[in-house]
Amino acid sequence: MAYIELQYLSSTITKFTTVKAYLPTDGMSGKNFEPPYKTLYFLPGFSNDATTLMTYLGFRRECELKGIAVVVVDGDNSFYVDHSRRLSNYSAFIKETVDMTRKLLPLSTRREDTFIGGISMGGYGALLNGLRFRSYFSKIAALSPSADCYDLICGHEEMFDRELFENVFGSEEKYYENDTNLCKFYSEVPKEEIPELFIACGEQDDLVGKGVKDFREKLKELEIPFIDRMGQGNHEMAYWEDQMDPVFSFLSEIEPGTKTRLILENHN
Amino acid sequence: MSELYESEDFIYNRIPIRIFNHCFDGIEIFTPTHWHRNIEFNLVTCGRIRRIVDGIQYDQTEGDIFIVNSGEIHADHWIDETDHFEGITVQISKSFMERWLGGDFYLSIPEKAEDMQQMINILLQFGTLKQKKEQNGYAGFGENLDGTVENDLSRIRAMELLFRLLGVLRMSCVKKPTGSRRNREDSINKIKEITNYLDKHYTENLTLAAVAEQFHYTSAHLSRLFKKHIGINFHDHLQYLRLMNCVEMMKIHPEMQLTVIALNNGFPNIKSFIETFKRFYGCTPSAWMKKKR
Repeated sequence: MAYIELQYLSSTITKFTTVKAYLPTDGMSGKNFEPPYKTLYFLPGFSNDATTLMTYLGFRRECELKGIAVVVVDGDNSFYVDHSRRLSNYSAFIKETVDMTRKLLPLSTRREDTFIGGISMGGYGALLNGLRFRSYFSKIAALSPSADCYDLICGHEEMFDRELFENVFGSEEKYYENDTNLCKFYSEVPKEEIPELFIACGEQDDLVGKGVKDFREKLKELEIPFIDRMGQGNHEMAYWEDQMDPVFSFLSEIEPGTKTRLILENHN
Repeated sequence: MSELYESEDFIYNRIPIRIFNHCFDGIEIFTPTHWHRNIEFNLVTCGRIRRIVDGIQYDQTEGDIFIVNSGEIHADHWIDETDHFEGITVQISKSFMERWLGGDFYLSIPEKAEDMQQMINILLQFGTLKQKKEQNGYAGFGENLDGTVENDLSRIRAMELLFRLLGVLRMSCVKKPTGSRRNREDSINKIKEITNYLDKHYTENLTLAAVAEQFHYTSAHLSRLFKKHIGINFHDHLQYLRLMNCVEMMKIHPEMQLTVIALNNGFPNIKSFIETFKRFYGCTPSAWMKKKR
């Protein structure tokens, strides 16, 4: 098990950035996974960053149990879309991150070994960029994704501000016209090209609940298969922690609940 | 570049013809390597152009006709950067042709001068028909998006010309494919599979070795196949494919940052994009953008 902080100059967001990664090498449980590693690229939500997620949630344990490297980026509050006038292109940044980490770390370059996931704003980023760069990603895991960013930002003015929405997406019309509108984007891409989907959202989540509900219904209408997990929970860390095993079981194609205990071995 | 590999999208009550009137200067005289099922008839009406079919170059001037058979890999190119070119292209549905000329055939240009002249006249009239439609502000044949069709005289004129063309073809152009031609088609099909693959994966970090492995070839063999059938080497083809996709994106999203366009279309960095662009267009992408505006 290795933990790496990797800083490099990103040409898409025009600044140095640090990605953080767990690699499932030589685990404490004695299990050993050999490179090149399957990799999950993970996108944090609004007001979160890589350190926050990696200290709150059990990525390290899941990486070691299921043999999947985890690369977590810092996405600022970008919604993972491009903002060329600010030289801050967080959509292109996702592709760049994959290319860069593949260059520097022993990660698999195969599509079937490459996954993307995220929470909330990051879940939106994963659903959007996983489909934009679908030749890279074979699976998308979205936890409580803000599937409808207009509803998230403009429907919760006590938390956000309409100006934020306009600053990120331009206007309501533009947002729904373009591929930023997930319901539209998923209906336009040939079905066989869409990565496998895992979508989870707590039933008490009224921050992104409406957007997720609409998106789920759209997928069903389009007959696009997806793993649909609900369960009790709000927009909260406890709910996402509960989803860690299901997400990594989905990625490693094992039955959820069958590989959850990290029992440390005596190395003497 | 999905529009390069067209599927057969002519429907029974539609006119099975597409007409293009071309007028280009210098490096704009360029169509990247592509193919389609439709059979294509090209006439040079002014200036000159280089046609590349299955890796072989043919330089053509005013009055020359060029027939691209179904599925042939072809491209157009300028000969000199100061060239001017005008011409007419008529594409006709393969299935429609098969209905009238039989299944297994290919077309070559007429041997007799009078047949040739007849064909030139027909192509010129196709060009005029299209021009008239365009002057009236509408280039289609009275066919609406919802599938309904208007009662438009030009539809009858187009079919009239098409049947006259079929007459000439039947009389002096139809040939039976020979064995060597069939063998050639096999290796061309392989190349198509590979270019289709590139078309899907050009945004990724591809190498000759990796693509060769994917198709169980050695790098050297793939490289030879490419040179033979496409006429340029693997790396150049891939870079042009990326470049053409970048240029499309620059046209649609002039506000987008060039770095993003370059990286999203498979260039490893902005420098590689700018170098390829300069090699092709003779100026930097930002200078080109300014000129376009």
